[in-house]
Amino acid sequence: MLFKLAWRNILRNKRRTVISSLAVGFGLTTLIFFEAFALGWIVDMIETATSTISGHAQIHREDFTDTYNVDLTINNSKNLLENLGREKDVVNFAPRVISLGIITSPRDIGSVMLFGIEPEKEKHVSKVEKSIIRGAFLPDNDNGTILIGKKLAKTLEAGVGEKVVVTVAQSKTGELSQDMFRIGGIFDLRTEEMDSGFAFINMTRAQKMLNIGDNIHEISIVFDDIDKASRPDFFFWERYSVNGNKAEGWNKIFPEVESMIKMTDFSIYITAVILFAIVAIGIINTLFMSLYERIFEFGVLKAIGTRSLDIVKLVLYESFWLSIVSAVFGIVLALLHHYIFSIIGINYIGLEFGGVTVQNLIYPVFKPWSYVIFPMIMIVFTLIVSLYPAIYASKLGPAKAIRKTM
Amino acid sequence: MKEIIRTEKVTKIYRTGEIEVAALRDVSVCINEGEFTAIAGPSGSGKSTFLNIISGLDHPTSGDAYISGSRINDISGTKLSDFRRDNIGFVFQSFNLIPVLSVTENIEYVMLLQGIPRKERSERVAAILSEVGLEGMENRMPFQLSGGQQQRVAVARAIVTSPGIILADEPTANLDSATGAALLDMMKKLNKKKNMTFIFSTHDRNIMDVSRRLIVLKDGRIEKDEVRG
Repeated sequence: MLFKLAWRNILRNKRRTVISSLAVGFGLTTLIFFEAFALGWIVDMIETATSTISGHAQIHREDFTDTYNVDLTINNSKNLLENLGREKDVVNFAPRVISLGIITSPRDIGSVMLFGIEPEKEKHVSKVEKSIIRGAFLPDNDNGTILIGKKLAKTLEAGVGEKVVVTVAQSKTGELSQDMFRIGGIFDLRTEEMDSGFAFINMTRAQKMLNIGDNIHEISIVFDDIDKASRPDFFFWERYSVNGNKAEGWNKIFPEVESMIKMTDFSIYITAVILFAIVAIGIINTLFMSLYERIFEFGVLKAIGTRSLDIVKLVLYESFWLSIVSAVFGIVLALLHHYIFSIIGINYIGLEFGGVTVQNLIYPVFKPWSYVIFPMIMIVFTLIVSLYPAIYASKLGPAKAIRKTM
Repeated sequence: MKEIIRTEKVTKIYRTGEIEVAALRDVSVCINEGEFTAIAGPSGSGKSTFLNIISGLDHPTSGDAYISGSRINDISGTKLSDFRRDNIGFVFQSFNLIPVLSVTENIEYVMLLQGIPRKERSERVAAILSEVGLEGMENRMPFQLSGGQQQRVAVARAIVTSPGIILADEPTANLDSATGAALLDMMKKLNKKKNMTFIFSTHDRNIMDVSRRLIVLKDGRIEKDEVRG
């Protein structure tokens, strides 16, 4: 009876119930959608970060990425590459030679991170080939061409077909080594750092310039499932972090992206706290408004023998129904938002965050569990905060409440 | 006759900050089972406070109140709620049915609190509705009833569990004279038939006239206490 009475009580003032439920429901929608959007953003960030250059994982000689010392080549790289070819989790991999250098055109000069690559393998791990906006990607056989970013091209005031000179310091001796290249292509990776400071040449030419024989500095790897790359217990790390080498997933290569993800989780938590606080105030306000309107009625209920505990139950049931209605509103609105934005996407293209530029429309990620757990938390939270008005109502003295007449 | 309500030197003082107002002063009354008693007096005379004290809705500042031999000052919390539920039926001035419950559900409410099984509840509701002349209105909501009909439902709710005492606070105040007279006639019959004790607080001359006992309060004291033939 109390459960039925509570349901009918919240329908007494339908307008107030609808407004309160919409307010709470909007809070819930915001939380669910914010999480879906944040997950979409993270998915895009990871996809962008890993597909542009890095791959899902990389192998280097220990300390190489801290110093970019060209002497720190991968130990036993030949065997390592052969083993990678046999790993069923590895879909593609590409070896690279990396050196800091100076690039000079007839009109200007710039610093550059020079990558020596195997073009055919590189095509399958990075976006360099797809991002060529003028000219062509490197041919498999070295023809003395170089790829530079569009911003670097602007700095150097050089276009496709023009000559540039690259200077690097050789391994061990530190002797300067220079070579002349013709610009074969200009790429646009949509990341400031890459477009203004990266250059790609054939790997054998790079090895020759650095005098490192057939050694390499980096292997970029793509797994069959990107999630494996962020799993700390994935066998790969232990198997390939040997002989002074170090295998790392994207989350270690881009600690700023991982920090962003953690920050996003924290943001969701903070958003949840703020929204639940608003929900709490809204619910308490609604229940108290309803309670003050019915003080006399509570007095009557107590007078005719309703126990205080039953009054607590009655108010909690009302709160439960209110939160159920709110949850329904919230879920429907969240689904509606999700449906709309999963079609049109959210345009943050070009925005750089945590060193990664958004390159695609962001689509919210549908996480069914969020449509269960957030409403449940809201319902439980609502019941907890409703204890205050419920206990208040239960403590009303019947004589005081019905003093109007008796 | 068996004594059902007794007050001994009951005083009730309300305090608002520094101000003290004595609503009842040394009121000693004994009411027997089956009496049809009217408590009359001007506004502020202490009628409501007296009813609150003898129903356990409020506690006296000093003095004692007994219902069916139990000292009501000693009962509190859940036991007091249960005591009221089982021993006292209330009829209020402004009907005070639960507006979201139907006639049947309003009458059933106290029986539900008592844990009476559904079948027995249905039988009792049917019987009581017949007794108060509201057959066929079981599923109506309070707003679909006239004032007189609502007050009949309130009486039905009060008597359906056969409590020993019915406390009625100005039950005819919001009714026209004909409807009030009919309601009073019905309660008088119930009083005779079921030997229930009816205590009214009232300004209604008709109630005072038909009551077997009239207690008049003034400034918190008993000014007159007369038993009619």
